[in-house]
Amino acid sequence: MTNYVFIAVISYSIVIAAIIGLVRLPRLHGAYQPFIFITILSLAGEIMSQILITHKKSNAVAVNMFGLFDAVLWCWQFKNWNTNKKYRVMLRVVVIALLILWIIENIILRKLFVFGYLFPIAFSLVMVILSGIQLSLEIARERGNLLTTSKFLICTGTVLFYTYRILVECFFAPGMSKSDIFFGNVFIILSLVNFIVNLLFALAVLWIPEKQKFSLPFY
Amino acid sequence: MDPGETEIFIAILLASGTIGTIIICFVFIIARNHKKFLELQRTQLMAEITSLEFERKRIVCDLHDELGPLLAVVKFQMTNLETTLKHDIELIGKATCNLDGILERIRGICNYMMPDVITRNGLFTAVNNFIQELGSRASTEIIFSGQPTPVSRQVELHIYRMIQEMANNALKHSGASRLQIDISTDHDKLILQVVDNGKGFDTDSVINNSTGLGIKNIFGRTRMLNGDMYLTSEPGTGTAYKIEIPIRCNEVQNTIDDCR
Repeated sequence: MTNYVFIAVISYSIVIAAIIGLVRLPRLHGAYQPFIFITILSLAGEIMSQILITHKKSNAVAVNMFGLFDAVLWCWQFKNWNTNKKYRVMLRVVVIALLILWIIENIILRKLFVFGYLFPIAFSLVMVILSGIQLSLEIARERGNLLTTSKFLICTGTVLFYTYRILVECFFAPGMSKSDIFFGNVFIILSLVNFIVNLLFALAVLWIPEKQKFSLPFY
Repeated sequence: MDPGETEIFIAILLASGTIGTIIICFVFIIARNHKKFLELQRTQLMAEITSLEFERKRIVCDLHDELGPLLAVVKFQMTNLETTLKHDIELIGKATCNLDGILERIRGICNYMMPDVITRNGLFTAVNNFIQELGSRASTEIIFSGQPTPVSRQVELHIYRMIQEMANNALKHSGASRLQIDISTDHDKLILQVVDNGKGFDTDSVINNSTGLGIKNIFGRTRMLNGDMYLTSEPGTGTAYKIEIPIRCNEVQNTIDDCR
């Protein structure tokens, strides 16, 4: 099995979370809707990339566009999870900043047809920070087992994935003149992490509550 | 890959492994400490609520066993006063009447703070009495439906306190014209639902500002009984509380500690 086939196969592991999410969507608590959409979007992104690569075309456009929608959906998800007014204002600022960065990199610098690195690194950093904030809130608020709490699992997954992504994206920055085999091998690490995180997301979707329990922090 | 790239790749692999191990370790340590923290918090909460109930019982005993008889003696002494003056007779009559009022009020307070009826007749009768008393003081239509519960008297007391708190909130703050209280069982859960059609409130502000002792009290008791609380309210839409308490953990003769 070549690196490419291996990466392609494990990338489709998001299908488990997407299917469980679609089946459970009508009964789930509304606050988790963006996350279900993210899993579906990820699956669509994988399929789109697969089609483009099969037709010997670069999947850069699909990846860059997916990055933008992914960022917006994640920010929407974090907004749903946290009702603090200051936090929501901060999220708005983050979304606007990310949008500006995406436009600069992909439209103004005309990099839509090549793989970007500025936006993915910035977005990954934002995701790690937002997930860290949400994890700390969950520790204060959750009254049950954290390891079976959807928000906790999702945030752990995102911290894991986006930390690796920052590490990997740095090697795709200009000036890194390495061989394709090297880049392929580096990308396999991210794919393996992606696989683990996708399984974590599947568990998280399974444990999303149908109605939100009332909870007070520090009580 | 050339030797230089291989070296870099090995360095990346090592860094990746280290990062992964650190994150996974952190997650498990957090989860473990969180469990310990919750147990500690729950013990503190139980101690708080138990001491609150103990203090209430002590106040009720003091009122009922000391102040009550003392006032009864005063009343007896006053009625035995011998006077022929019309003004004094009128004054004694008024004072006796006031003393009766005070005694009645003391009985009311005692009953509100520590309802004997729960221990004697159970939760269903106690809630019925409470509603009748509440209905006589307010214009709100109160509907109660329920059935005898298979939980201990101690647990029934906590449920009664929650109902008191929710009903008082509905009457005092929401301006509701209709209040519905329902106690039912579903499989192994006791379900308490209290719904009003009042002005409602913003639950987010309660969570973020942690104001409102009433909700804290209800939430604290729910947690103490290993239950879950669902609160639905928005300005203008009324308020609905749903509290699910596992019966297995709170059955007669079982202690709450069994369910930790």
